[in-house]
Amino acid sequence: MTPRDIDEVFARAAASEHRVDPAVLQRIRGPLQSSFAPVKPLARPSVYIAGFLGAFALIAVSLAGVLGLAGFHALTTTDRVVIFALLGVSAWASASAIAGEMTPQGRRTIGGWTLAITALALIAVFGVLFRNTGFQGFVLQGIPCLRAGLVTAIPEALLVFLIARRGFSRSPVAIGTLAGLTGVTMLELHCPNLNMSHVMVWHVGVLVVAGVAGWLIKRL
Amino acid sequence: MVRYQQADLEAANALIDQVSPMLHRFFMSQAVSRAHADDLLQDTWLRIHEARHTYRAGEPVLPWFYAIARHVRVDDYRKTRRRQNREQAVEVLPEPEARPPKTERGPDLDALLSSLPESQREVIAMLKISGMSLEEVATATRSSVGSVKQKAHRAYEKLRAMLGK
Repeated sequence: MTPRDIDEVFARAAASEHRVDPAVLQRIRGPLQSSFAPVKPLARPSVYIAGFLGAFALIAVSLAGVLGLAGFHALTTTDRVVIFALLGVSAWASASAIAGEMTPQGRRTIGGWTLAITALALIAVFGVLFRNTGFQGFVLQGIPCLRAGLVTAIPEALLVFLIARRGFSRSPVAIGTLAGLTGVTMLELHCPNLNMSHVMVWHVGVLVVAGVAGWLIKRL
Repeated sequence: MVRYQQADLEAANALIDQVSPMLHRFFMSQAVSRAHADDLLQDTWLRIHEARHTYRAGEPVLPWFYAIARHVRVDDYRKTRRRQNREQAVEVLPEPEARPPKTERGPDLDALLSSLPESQREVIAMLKISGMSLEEVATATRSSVGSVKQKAHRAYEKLRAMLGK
């Protein structure tokens, strides 16, 4: 049998009329007509992406502004460009994934592997940029950073969820990732501790905890 | 579709009449019974109605419908799997539903499709039966055109191997 023969079988099937039981169609119309009202279509994806990124920047900068921008001043110009560019690109990717998931045919969303790659990319950048090592006060200084980062991530997650829930489905991992990135950005602006292990564990930890929380919510 | 969003009842009825047979056939091609396909079609229309605001004017409408149908099918599959996992195995398994005999014209569509894995089956159903383009199928299945081509190619290879025996 050749592909043409197989095509013929499909062509015959496609040409034949397929009927749906009129009673089924009637059952479909019933509930639809009972809740019939005009709806406003979703805005373009770029509008949502801009909104998510606006919330990301606003929350990170305003909370860092309240707590102090010592971290930003401690960084060199190269550090600032590399770190904030990476955080910005990652936030844009997460925001795009959330906006995409708002329509049924939206592209594949962010999964666990994307979260892992983002965390590893941040760890690699911090590993290259920061040379201070040592574990003095590792936990004592780390816990407040993790806590502050997560406190920053929560309003971002709630805000993005509220906007995204108008869409077809939510993407908890992407929302968690974007919220975690908000926390990391706030910490990079606020925390002056440039110890490599501190930044790698406690700052990136905010992203991991927020992303995993999103993943767990998705599994529920 | 835009008129449906604006609560035009006539447009909604026309859409239901026009799209339902396509979606019903899509479900039937996924190796489900007619009654099950009826249920899935009803669920799909409820989801379509709830999500009608997520259609953006100017975008191709068929991938949007099929994407929702696919979500419904996947949810139904997961629900069935969960139920099966909860149920205890019975000593005597029910006999599978008998397939209609082959006609002299050759293998029928159901027999052809049922031999394919789920992902290849849905791609073939959309491409060859619903007449969608590669791009539309890629959009509806949230994958790339390359992936759709690969699945279609593998499906044809499998069908050829099976029918060549």
